[in-house]
Amino acid sequence: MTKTEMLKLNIGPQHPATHGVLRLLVELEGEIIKSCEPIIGYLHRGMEKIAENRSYIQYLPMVDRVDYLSGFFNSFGYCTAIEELLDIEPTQKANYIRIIMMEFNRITSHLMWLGSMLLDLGATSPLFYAFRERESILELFEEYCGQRMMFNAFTFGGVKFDLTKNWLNKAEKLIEKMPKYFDEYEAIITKNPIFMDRTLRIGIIKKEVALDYSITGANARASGIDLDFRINNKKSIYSEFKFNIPIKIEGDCYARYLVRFAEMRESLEIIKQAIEKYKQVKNEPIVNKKFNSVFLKIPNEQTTTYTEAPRGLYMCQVIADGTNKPYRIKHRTGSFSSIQLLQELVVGNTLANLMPIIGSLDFVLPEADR
Amino acid sequence: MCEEILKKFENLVFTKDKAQNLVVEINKDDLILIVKNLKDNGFDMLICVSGVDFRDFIEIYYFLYSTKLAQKVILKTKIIDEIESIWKIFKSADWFEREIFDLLGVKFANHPNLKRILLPEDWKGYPLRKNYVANDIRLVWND
Repeated sequence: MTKTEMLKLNIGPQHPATHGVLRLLVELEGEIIKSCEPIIGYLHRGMEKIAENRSYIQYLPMVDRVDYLSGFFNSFGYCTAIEELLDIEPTQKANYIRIIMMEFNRITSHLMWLGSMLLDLGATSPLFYAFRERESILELFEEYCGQRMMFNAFTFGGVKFDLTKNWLNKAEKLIEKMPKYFDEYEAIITKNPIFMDRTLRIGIIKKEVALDYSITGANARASGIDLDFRINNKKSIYSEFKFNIPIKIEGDCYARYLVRFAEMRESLEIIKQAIEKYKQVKNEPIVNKKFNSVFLKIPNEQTTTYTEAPRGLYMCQVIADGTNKPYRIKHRTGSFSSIQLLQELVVGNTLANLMPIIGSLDFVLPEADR
Repeated sequence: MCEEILKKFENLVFTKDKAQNLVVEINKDDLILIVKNLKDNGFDMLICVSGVDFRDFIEIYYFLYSTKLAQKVILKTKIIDEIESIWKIFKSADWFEREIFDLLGVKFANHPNLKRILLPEDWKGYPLRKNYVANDIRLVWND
C-alpha cells in the first residue's frame, strides 16, 4: 500500500503572479489542490481610519488610492455620496466628462488585466500589445489632469478640469483606432489553442456560488447573472446612453475573458456617445457650486452609493455627523469577495490551473486590503 | 416589495436614507429569521456588511440586493458587541464579518473562523472604535 502525504505549499506574498501581495496557503495531494487559504492584509493602509481624521476635501485624493488601477471610479462613488448628502447635482457637462474618463479608465484597467493574465499563462507578447494602447490612454489622462494613475480630478458637484479642443481631437482619433487594436489582440489570443486549453472549462463559477459569495462585475456576468450597476441603479448618469451588457453563462475562465473583452468595445461606444453629448453642452460650467474646503460641513445624514467599477461593485457608505470630518466611511470593493471565492474555486484543480484562475478573476490587492 | 416580505415581523422601523434606499431597523434577535426570509423571497445577494461605532453602541449594517428585482435593502441593528453570524445563509458574510471583528471588535457568535483578516494577528485593540489610541510601535517608521 502506498502512503500519500499532504504537501503544504506557501505561495506569495511576493509572488509576481498574485497581482500585488496575496499569500496563499495551499495543501496539495500530488498535483491536486485540496485546500487553499488566502491571506490578505499586506497592503492594508487603514483608508477607513484615515477618513476620520481628515476633512471631506482632504480625503478626496486618498480615495483614488483605494484601487490605483481604476481611481476614477472610486472618486466618482465618493463624490456622488457627498453630493447626495449636500443635495447638489453635478452639471450635465461634468457628468459627461466623468463618463468619458471612467470608461477610458475601464479600458486601461481591463488592458492591464489582459496583459497580466496572459503573462501569468506564460505569453509575454500580449503584455506589450496591451501596454501600447494603455500608454496612449494614460497620456490622455496626463494631459487632462496631470496624473497618470491617481487622478484627483473629480470634485463635489463636478470636475476640476475642462476638456480642451486638442484633447477631444486626440481622444476621437484614438477611439477610431482602438477597435483595430482590439481585433489584433483577438487575432492572437481568442482562438489560440494553447490559451483555450488553459482556460476553457477551468475555474467554473456556478451562478448560485457567485450569488452566495456576492461576486459582482464582469465575473458575475460571465456566470450568467444580469447585474450591472450602470443600469440597475435607480438614478444613473448612464441612463441616456445606449450600450449592450455582455453576458455569458459558462462561468469559466474563457467566458470571463470574453466578457471583459466585449466590455472594452462597449466602453468605446459609450465614450463616442458621451463626446457627442459633451459637444452639445459645451458652454455649461464644470462645477455646480464651489465650496470652501475648510468650512464644508455635512448635516447628520448617511448615504450609500453603488458604482460599477471594472473589478465589480464599488460601494461607498458615508456617515456624516454635522462636522467637517466624516464620521465613518466604508469602502466595499469587488476584489475582496473575489479573493474569498478563491478558497472554494481552486479546490480540485491542479496547481498549474491556479494561475489562469487568479488571472481571470482580475483582483488587485490594494482594493481588497484598503 | 420588501415591506410585504417583512410584514410578519414586529418592531421594524422603515426609513429611507439620503439616496432613497430602504433602510429597515431590526431587532438583533430576529436577524437570522429576517435574512433567511429575504433570501427565500428573492434578495439573493449580500453586498456588504459594515459596522459603525457610536460610542454607546455599535450599529451593524447588512446591504442586501435582489438581482431579479434590481432592489436594494439595508438592514441595520444596534448591538453592544455581540451578534449572531449569518455565514450559514450567505457565505460571503464569512469575510465581511471577519473584517468587522478585526477593525471593530464585534464578536460574531457561531462564526467558523473568527480571527483577524487585515491587521497582523498580534495587533492590540480595534482601530475603528472611536476610543482607539494609535500607539502601536509598528506605526512609527521615520523616528
